[in-house]
Amino acid sequence: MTGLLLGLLSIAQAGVLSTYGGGEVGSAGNAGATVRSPMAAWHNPAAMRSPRIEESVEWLYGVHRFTVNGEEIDVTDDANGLLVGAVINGYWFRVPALNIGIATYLPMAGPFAWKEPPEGKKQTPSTPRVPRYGNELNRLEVALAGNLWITDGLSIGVGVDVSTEVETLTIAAVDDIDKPEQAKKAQDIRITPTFHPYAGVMVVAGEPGSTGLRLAVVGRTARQMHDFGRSNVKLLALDALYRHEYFRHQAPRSVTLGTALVCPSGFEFRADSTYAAWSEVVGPYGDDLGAAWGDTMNLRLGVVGDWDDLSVQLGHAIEPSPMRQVPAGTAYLDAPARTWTAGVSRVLVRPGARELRLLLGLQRTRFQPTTPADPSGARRSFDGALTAVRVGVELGHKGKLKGALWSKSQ
Amino acid sequence: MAGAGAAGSVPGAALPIDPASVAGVDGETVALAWRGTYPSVQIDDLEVMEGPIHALDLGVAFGGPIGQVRGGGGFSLYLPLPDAVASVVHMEADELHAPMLEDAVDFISFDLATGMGFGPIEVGVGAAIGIDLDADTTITVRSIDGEKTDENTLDITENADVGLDRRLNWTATPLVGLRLNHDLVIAFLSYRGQSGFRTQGDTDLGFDFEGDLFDDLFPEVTLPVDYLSVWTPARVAIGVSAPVGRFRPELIAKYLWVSGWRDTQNRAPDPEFIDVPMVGLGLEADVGSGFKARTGYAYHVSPVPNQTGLSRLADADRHVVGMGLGWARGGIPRDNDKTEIALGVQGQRLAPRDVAGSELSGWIWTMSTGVVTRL
Repeated sequence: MTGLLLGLLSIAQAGVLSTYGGGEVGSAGNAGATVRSPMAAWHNPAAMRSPRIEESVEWLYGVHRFTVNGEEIDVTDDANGLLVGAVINGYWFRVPALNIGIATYLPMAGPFAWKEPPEGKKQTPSTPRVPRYGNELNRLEVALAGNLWITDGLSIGVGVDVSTEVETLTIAAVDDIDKPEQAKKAQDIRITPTFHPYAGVMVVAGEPGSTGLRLAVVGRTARQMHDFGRSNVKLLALDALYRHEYFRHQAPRSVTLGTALVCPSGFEFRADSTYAAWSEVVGPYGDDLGAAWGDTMNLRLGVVGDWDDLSVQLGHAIEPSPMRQVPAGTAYLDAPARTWTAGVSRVLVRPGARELRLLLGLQRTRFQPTTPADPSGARRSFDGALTAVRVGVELGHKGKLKGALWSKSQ
Repeated sequence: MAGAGAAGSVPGAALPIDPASVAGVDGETVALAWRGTYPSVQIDDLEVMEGPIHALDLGVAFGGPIGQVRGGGGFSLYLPLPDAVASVVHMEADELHAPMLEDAVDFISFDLATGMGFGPIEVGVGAAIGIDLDADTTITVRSIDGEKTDENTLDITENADVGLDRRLNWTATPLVGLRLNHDLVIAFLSYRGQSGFRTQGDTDLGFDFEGDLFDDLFPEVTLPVDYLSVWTPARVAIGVSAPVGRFRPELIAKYLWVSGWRDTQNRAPDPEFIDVPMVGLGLEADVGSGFKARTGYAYHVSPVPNQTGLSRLADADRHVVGMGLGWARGGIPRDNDKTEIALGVQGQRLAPRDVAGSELSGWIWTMSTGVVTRL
């Protein structure tokens, strides 16, 4: 398998890499058991396996539309950015069993954006929100990973998902209320990276050209961005202090089990499932969502046809919703979804040992129209869809894998 | 090498100062380094710089022949840890601080470039990518009931709604270079545009009180925000390197346009800053068995004249001394080898200077180690 198949999968974690672009094009997310993809640093670090070096650059455009009672709601910007992935083999350092990789989403419209409307923590927010995707679908994501093939059929990998938290301290002193532009202001901004590790194991059975089986496990720690700070405003006689504290870019702890059956005919069948502990996630104000938010287990299926210069991949994912009912005192909404994906990868040219491929992928995720139970008695009919396209190139390598652990000379 | 060394380094490994060098990459170059900065700078007893600051440098470049010419591209990332951005905005004009020192190494930077080579001549163009913050804040006060703090301030968090609308945006300033890559001499000329971390937005203060009296006392007010911090001036740099036996001396000179500096409230200093040159000399010696020893000295002229007006800004001339050692596995990197491991230390001595009756002095130490690999 080349692993070049376009995979648009929907692991049960919000974010562009997991929702639109963390795996091979067209695989509907069942990438846990794939091998040799430049984006493998994200979907399963244990799967990274390149004879030398492989890179891919893709442009991604994702449109997300959500409606409540037929009215479109503003959740987040459309995704518009670059997916960049690379895997480098330790051959260069005389450790060919080692691979290191990076998988990133670089939004063109800004590294990331977030919006928090002014709503009192003790009031009932009336604005409908989709916390699983709010502020998530066009933010910068970076995943760094490394793995080691202990034997030809066993790999262990670890990675880290880089996120950020922001602390803002603001001081403003208004002496003349008619001339606010002359107010004295001071600010201290601190954007701090946070690190959320994950790990994977890959087991490969079978020889090339015969029936084979791959099994994979990927476990991820929870991810959360903390946005906090305070503002001191001196307005005439009023000297007031306000604090803010929000939680965003959240993803729960999860574990993914994946399998792939490889047939000599050139077809490969894949399935994987992710258990995500959404019950541990808090609301954007740190609010306890209680029993209204539960754990989920999804199912993703895929089939790959692989010929000399062409790979075609189809995928389907069944994604349950973590929401059991609208959490009390909120207007948070969510719904189960089905995802369909298709991807194609074709060799354009083979200069030397390198292989340049064109990648094209499509994804459509349709949410099931839902009117969730609401303790307040409000009736909100929720509906939505995600649509995305990926176009790019991958520069692979057709060199021979070195099997020795510590020396490239063998 | 105290800032010198770019001309003679592995092609593509010094992209931020020599962008045209990516045209000389044959294959792929990956450079990874750790840098620790340990400042000890005081105005009397006041520490001016926060520290230590640890950072990672990552550079990747690739290239090769394209028909009759050579082409290449690459990027360089400087990632301070743990803060990607730490920006402090000062409010008062007469506050004593040192803008050329604060925050100078605590800010993420990302440069990318592409280049073409025609015989010994290489040209490169690129961009220094930065980020700006759009920050709109909305505060709605429902009541001025609150808890009194030690600063005689009312903490009314429980009676106020705070909303944020923020966006970090990419910005770009130009990076261009010209390089002569000859067996006898390597020289480069480069230009880098001015950059800074700009924060723009509005803070909207609204009041949701009951009663006309409060509405009259506290009307809605918008405080415009427009700060520029972590400012770096435009500059041109020239480097020349020529091997002499086992030695390779290198000269570097820069000119920085600092006169346009404004403080974070867009106030001009009094008197204004001046444009300044910087010159440095480095020396690399092949000491055998794949080892290279390096040293250098540079003199940085301060752009900050003695402040006679309201502004109290401090800075000093700097003497920069560097020493380092590199070991290339299987040979020296410029001679078709694979990997070099390097270790270096640099000290910047601030010449003591009187600042409004206070003395500015100190050292900024930097330790670094890294590896450059050609794939």
